[in-house]
Amino acid sequence: MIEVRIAAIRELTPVIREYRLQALHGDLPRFSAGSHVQLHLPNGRRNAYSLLGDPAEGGDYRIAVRHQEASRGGSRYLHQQLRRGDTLKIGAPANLFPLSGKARQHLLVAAGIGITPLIAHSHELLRQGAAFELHYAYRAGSSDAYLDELRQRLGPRLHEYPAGQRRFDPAALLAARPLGCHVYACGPQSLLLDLREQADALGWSPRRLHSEAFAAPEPGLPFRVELARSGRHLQVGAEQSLLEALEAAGVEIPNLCRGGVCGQCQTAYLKGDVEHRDHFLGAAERGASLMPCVSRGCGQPILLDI
Amino acid sequence: MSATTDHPFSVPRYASPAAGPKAREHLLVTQTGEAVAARDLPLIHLALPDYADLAALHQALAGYLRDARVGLRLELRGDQSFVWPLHALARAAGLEDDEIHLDSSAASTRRVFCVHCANCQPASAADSLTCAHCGVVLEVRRHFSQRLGAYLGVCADAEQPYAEVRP
Repeated sequence: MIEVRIAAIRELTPVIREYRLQALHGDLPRFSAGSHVQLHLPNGRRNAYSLLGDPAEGGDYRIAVRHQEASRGGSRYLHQQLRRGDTLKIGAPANLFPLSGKARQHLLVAAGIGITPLIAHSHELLRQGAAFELHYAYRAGSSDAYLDELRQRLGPRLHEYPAGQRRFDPAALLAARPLGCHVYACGPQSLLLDLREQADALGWSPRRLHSEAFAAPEPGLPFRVELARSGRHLQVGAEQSLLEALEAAGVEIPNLCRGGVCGQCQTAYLKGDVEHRDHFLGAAERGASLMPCVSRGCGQPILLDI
Repeated sequence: MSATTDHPFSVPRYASPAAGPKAREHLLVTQTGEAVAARDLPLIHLALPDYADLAALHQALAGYLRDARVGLRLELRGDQSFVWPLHALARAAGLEDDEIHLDSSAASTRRVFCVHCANCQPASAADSLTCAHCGVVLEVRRHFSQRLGAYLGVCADAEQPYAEVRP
């Protein structure tokens, strides 16, 4: 765990703010493009945020946070409570969204606040002299963070899709691309699904598609779990994830993304009805494993094998 | 011993054409001049006998892949020593692993990489051979390099690397 101070807060748009995180002691670890860190907020929430900025520069971390209307306490806390000079704990950077070393053309696709990891990617690709394009769908005046900076830095590599003026078209993006082309997308689930569907229809290997959806776990109905080895019973609230309930009870489960994609928090269960909401487990594994960061109980109480 | 020992992770499997990603276009490269069944997809067929030598075929494939578009499926048919160098070429050209289908036989001619002189050479499916470059008697290990398209050959007997007859 790393202790940081909020060194600066900058309002990028009425709903997006940038936070500069400075190490309290020593230097922050270097990170690769596409990395994220977990913020451990004083209110007990842990959220993952992509590191933007140039990975080669080192120094302070920068993250950008969009205020979510339906915030479960993460983005709302950051926007309303956190002040310059406050201190926080963060985890070390981890990368679940790296650039492919073999690709010879990179297509970066961002919608709104999904721009953050792709900013780091664009720095890295510029330095490598790699062939790339950044496609940015945004709403002018609210979800268009860093637009001016990107226009200056990327020139014709930047392709803009302002809401209401130009629609992002996955089929057009993927048409007639040379071998060696890889796509990196960050945005809402609907965008990622559209891209996947089009890529599939055009005969793209799924290995050419890299995506990151850092949506917070969706709330649901409250449910009960029992821990088989300790015999403890826990109640998971409607607004809480199972992982959060376990952490609140002092049970630490390894985790990285907290969004159902990285696979770190895979936990065995012995019985109970599970609503699987992750993108990691295969159908065959779901009978005995679940991802507590997003999946929930739905019916018979879950007996976890921990 | 477990099933994994019978087929180590590093030894390639030559599966039947799986239901991989859908293809938009098909490119078939064969070692022999076999006739090819008609398919629904556009199909390009490069056959070794139509070229002056292997180098010319490699050049033709590289040229074709340079202008190709994502959505292409490549099928390579022939001995292991024929398909793997083409596989490496296709990967370098930007094709993904699951966009290439290998149709070969584990019993066919394969390539062996000698760890003592760092040369590759064609070999049979036999467990040992004498390196054609440095003369060391090699035991062929069940360890395959996709990059080199070759099995690992190491000295079979360190006491008698050249199989000398002892007095």
